[in-house]
Amino acid sequence: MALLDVEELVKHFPIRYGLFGKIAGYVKAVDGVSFSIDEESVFSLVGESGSGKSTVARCVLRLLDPTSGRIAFKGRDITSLRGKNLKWYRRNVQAVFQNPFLSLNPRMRVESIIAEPLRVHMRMSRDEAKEEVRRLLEKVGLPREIEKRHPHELSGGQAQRIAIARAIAPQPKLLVLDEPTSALDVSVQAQILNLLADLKNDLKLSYLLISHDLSVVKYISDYVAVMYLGRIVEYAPAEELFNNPAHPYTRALLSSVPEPDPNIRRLKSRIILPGEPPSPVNPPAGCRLSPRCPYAMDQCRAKEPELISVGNGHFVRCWFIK
Amino acid sequence: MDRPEGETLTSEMRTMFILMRKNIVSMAGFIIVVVFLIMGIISPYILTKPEDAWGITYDVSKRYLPPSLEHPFGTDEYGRDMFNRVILGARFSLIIAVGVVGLALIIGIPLGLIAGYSGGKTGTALMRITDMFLAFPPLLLAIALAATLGRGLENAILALAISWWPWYARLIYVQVNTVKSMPYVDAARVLGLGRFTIMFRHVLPNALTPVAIQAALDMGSAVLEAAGLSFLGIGVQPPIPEWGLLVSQGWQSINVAWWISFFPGLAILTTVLGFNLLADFAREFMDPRLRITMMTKKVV
Repeated sequence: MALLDVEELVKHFPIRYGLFGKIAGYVKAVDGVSFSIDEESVFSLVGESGSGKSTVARCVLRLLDPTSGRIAFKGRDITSLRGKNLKWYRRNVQAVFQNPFLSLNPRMRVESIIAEPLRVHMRMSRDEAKEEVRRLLEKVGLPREIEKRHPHELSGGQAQRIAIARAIAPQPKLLVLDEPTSALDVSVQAQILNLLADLKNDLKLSYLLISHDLSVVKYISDYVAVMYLGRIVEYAPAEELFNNPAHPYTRALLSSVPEPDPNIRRLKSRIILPGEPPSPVNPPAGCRLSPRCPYAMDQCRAKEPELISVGNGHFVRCWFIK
Repeated sequence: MDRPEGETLTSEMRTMFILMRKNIVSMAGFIIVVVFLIMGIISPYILTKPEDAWGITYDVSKRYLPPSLEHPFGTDEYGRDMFNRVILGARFSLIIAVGVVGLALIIGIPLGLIAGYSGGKTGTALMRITDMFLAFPPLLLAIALAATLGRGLENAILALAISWWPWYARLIYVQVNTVKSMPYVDAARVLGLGRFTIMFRHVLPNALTPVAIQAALDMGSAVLEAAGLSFLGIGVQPPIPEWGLLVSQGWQSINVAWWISFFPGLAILTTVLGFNLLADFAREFMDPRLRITMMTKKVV
């Protein structure tokens, strides 16, 4: 059984106007997304801004209530958990956010930031928590002296390590990583990624990684799903996806990754999709990429394809696969 | 990388004093406020004529004496030394200022916090109630309340606080609305913290700064409005030497003894001016763009 199962997740945000908040339409941020995450594996959601990947993460974290669909953790639907049961889920699923300076309370010291989950979930006494905070600091590679500092006295990398220490403190099974390195300097990104990779093996964690940075995704993922306008358009084991991208959108996305070697760069052609992504309020009929896709045919504009298996656990939402 | 705006309090304070030293007017305001605070605290213990100050004496032979070395602010119709009365008056003005603002904060902060964090129907309902209070001119509401509650120091404080809290509730509501969408609040929810822990440990401390500053600055207005109530005869009662009351008592004899109203009036004016100068400074200090102008400006 998978650790986390997301089935047909839908999140529509109503657009209200006027004095009485009449609903004018819906922003279809997430429109039927399904995936599952196995124990001790890394699942990545990639896509451009507005593709709905962060909304999926926020639904999984129960920061948003989905419009419909099911999110099951260890076989148990968590979309309507309350009280004690929700606390059980919170303990098992933790998060690391994009900008550590914004995700750490500026008025708290490192010590109390990390101690907070310990005292809530592990019911530790003040002294036990203090001891555990030191152990966690060591675990994320920070000196113990740092515990008395405030977040603004830390570097970006240090602050993100604190956020990670806080996330692993209640001994969760799943970490949701929402763009965990995008706000950091490039030199620090690699250190944080290595730390995350080590922690995953040490603590037998699973990750749901949300990112637009394909090199980050390639480095750490077991499975990758590509999102476009609230839908998964391609889903495959990481290696398979990067070697054999099948969907035109995925290909365009992969071709946008800068290639450091000039000899290879000359051989690679850049695929550029014309236009801007359409509004998620009125997604295009048929395949959502059809207005921008260089290969689009009449069929594409008429009806949206299903996710079709092409073998090796690789699924693509495109009529051309047949 | 973005850093949060809130630097540590100590480093903020240091910058504040450096800037203040460059600006004589702000410095004057700061000194006036500090002197007022000190006087308010120690005045009962430094009086040379405590019976006069508390209004116990009645000496016809000393009626209406003009200012002199013996009586720097003259004497009133009962022969009491005005200097001592004005000094002691600082205490009552301070009690009123702290009482009014404190009470208004105690009502306004929880309401604004709950309304802002809960949002939805609860939030709207709470804010509509606040709006109802805001619809009245505050002094008018305070006068009506003070007249209904009856005379006395406590009732004056209560009346002013009731007309005052909606401003704080509004201010904190707006702040909470900004802070509650900060990632550290999301992080706190993901950690599984309780609603009240999130509100009081994560939201409130980060929403409080503007409110705290506003409250400190409102002390001057509280002194002025309390003096107004006393002047109208619905605030503090004689023989308590509250400044507004002293002005109103001297009012009838202004032609023979100008000093009875003049010196308490001067005390009110100076205190309110001090708070306002400090307010101007704080406003400039809070705005980063104005702060840069302050730093480059040489003498003001």
